[in-house]
Amino acid sequence: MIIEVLKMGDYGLYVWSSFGLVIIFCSILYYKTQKKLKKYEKSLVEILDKLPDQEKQQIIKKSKVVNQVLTSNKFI
Amino acid sequence: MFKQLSASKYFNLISNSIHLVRMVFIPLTIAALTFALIISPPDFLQGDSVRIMYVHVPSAWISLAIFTLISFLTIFNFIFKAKYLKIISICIAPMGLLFTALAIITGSIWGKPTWGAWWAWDARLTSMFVLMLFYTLFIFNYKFIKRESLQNNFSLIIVLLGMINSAVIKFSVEWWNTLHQPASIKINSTNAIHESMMVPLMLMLLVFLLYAALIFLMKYKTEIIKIKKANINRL
Repeated sequence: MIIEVLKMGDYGLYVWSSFGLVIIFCSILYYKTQKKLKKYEKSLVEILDKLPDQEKQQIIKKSKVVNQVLTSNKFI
Repeated sequence: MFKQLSASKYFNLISNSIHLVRMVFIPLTIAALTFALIISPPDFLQGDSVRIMYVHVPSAWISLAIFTLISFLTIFNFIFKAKYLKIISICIAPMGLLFTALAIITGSIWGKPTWGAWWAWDARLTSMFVLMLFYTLFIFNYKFIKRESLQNNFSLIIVLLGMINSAVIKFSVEWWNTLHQPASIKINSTNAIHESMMVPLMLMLLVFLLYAALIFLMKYKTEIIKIKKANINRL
């Protein structure tokens, strides 16, 4: 049964390489996108950390985005 | 109207949607792959090679749908100068390029056992290749041209020419005698596909759409953070 599924009636190489390539390409784009998102989240947090406390608190109060990034990164 | 799309308002919603899509994505992918690779029957003519259709067709549909969406967003951005429309098109363009490349590669792999050739310069295949070039030009336009007015003008020219190419892709199999088969699934008429193949096809389409949504949301979130980071002194 497993060999039949793998062989796919002699089309196994074509079928599995198609599905495999789709999974590989999609995974590469996913990990590149996630890495970039994490990089920007981290750099935003680093910029905020360099600011004086009062200014930092003001920005957190004003901006939902900054607040959410800080919360999700658990840097507070 | 387009100010309502302002991203920071929906930042929490974007973050929550990413989590939700991630949760649904894995079980749905397993179900779709089980249907596509095991449960669905082989074709009486093409045998098991027909299973390539489950990745080839959704890729091709989504690549065309994304280009159509980018075209409308670019035209609206050109008229209304809404920054967020431009950001949305920048976020979805790489996915369009990916799905076009996947449609071409999987089509080529499917072509070898079916037509006996990896590639032929027939109307459908060539116009899909041209679509990939339009996507590349669109992405390079925003990456390498720094002047905004020039970016907008170039992107408009690219999408207008690309829209003509999209029409060629759609109707190439009817206008010319091509190696590529005509459409088997039509909205206004009876489908030439049995439901045992239609179910996995629709499941795989759903998986690809969810993947596209996930990448879009992550890229959009990155763009919002980029903007906030650049304007941190103004907050």
